[in-house]
Amino acid sequence: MDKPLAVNVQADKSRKRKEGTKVLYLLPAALLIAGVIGYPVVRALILSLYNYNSLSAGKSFVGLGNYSKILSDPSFHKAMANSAIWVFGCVFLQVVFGMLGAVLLNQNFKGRGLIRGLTLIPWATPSVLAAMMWMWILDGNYGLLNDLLLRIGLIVHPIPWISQMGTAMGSLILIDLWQGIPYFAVMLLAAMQTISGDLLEAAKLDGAGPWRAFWKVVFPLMLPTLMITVILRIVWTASYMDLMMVVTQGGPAYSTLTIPLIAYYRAYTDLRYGEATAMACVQALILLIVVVIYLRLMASKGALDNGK
Amino acid sequence: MFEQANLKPPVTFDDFLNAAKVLTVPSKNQYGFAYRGGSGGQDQWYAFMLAGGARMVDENGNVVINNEKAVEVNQWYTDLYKKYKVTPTTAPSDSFAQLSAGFQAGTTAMMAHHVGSYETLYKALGDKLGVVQMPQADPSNPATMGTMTGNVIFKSSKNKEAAWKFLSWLSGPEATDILSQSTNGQLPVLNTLTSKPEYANKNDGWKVALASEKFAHVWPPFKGVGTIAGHTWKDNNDLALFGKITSKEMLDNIAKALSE
Repeated sequence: MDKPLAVNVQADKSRKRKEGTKVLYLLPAALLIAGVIGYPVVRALILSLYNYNSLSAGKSFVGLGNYSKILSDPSFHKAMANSAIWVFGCVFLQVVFGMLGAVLLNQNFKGRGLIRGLTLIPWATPSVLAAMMWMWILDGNYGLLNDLLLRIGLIVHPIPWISQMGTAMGSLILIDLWQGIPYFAVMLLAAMQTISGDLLEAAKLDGAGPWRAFWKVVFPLMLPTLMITVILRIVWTASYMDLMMVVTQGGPAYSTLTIPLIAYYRAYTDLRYGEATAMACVQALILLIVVVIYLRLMASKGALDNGK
Repeated sequence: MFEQANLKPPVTFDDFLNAAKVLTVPSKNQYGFAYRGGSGGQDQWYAFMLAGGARMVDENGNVVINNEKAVEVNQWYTDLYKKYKVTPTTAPSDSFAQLSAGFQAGTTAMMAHHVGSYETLYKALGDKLGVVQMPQADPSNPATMGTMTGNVIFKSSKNKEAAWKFLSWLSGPEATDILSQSTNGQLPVLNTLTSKPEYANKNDGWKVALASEKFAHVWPPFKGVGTIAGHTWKDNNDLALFGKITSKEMLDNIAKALSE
């Protein structure tokens, strides 16, 4: 009678020890995350409740004053609308063209490996460099794009792409597409290549054409990868401001001013840190809501259980 | 360009506008004036505002950048793009890189800049480059913009005396001489230095700039200047260029930022 009990206690002890070891293993990463991400987030939340200007000593508590101030500020409204257009435009078009790119790269052709490698160059280009390069491609006086369009007779006068309200945001989205499509294409290509040929063969035997096989077999299996890539891109694109900062500085006339950029100006040129952090918190909250809704939607469609 | 069009270098605002109109030939992608609407454009704007007779603050320290005179000059300046169309269509976003490239390529006939760009432009254009003082609305009472940078001591500084001592040395002949001869050299403002031949005879750009120092104004030492240079000027200038706000509204917003 005693023996089995002793064994049980032993097992229990070792389980506990295992649990303890797990926690110990997780501790460094958890501490790092708490220090590098948790602490700044809490600090930002607290700072957003204060009036703080680094030029004048001290700060004063204003409660939700900063939030009500920015939410009634027309330039912040404009920035929110611009951010929505920017994120939706960039991510949606990247998914469409990234998928197309992945299908193309998955074909058998000569020099496929080389092309696949070269595809990643835009993604690997530093954003400021890409911005500078595109600034000259889109330049309204000597830009390559205008030159091309003039030569093929599509336009009569060069278009100042980044200097007018109607085309500035579209131009920035174009630059982001150039950078982001390769990322999508390569991620989706990787997902596509994990799909076994047997499944496609079975679909073919069952009488499915390539179009049907793609939507019924390939696409559902790619969905988890697509989903995580989309979430990552939404978050990155929403916080990405290098392009606007270099190419348009949020102009002309606020047409490319997004939330991170207005928050940056509010903090570093107006020195109103409280309002700036309040803006950042609003963006974080909106992103959180979007991501949660998105995850729920995908989970209900079965995208989270690996397409099985 | 001026010789070909039989024009004299502009002395007055009227000369300037006339030359800009004559030298604007959109079909040849050629424009009279390189309007800087992109980053850094507030300095060029302020120089033209001063030359037109407007001031940021009056003798008593009151903000007057939105008075009647200023509204008139600002209207004239923004009309270079809006009404007279003597600037490239890219003006709202053009900053130094575009200005410099356009001027070197002959896309623009006139540009306003400080001595820092002279060597580069001279290398590219040689004798085709001419330098004149800022054209004036009233040449008998000239004004221009004189500085973009300055040094400060924080009120909360723990070492005010040491800081004052350092800044005093920095503004003295020895340090100014070193700074003025560095790559990003600025104009020396001390008479003992400006008369030195290495400055006085350096090049045409320096000659004109040193002569202009006598009637140059600086940005007023107000907290709001940083905000204006950061984005308020550009935001409002864009809106004015696109006709979304009036000259008066643009200046009211700038005056408000300045007073904050």
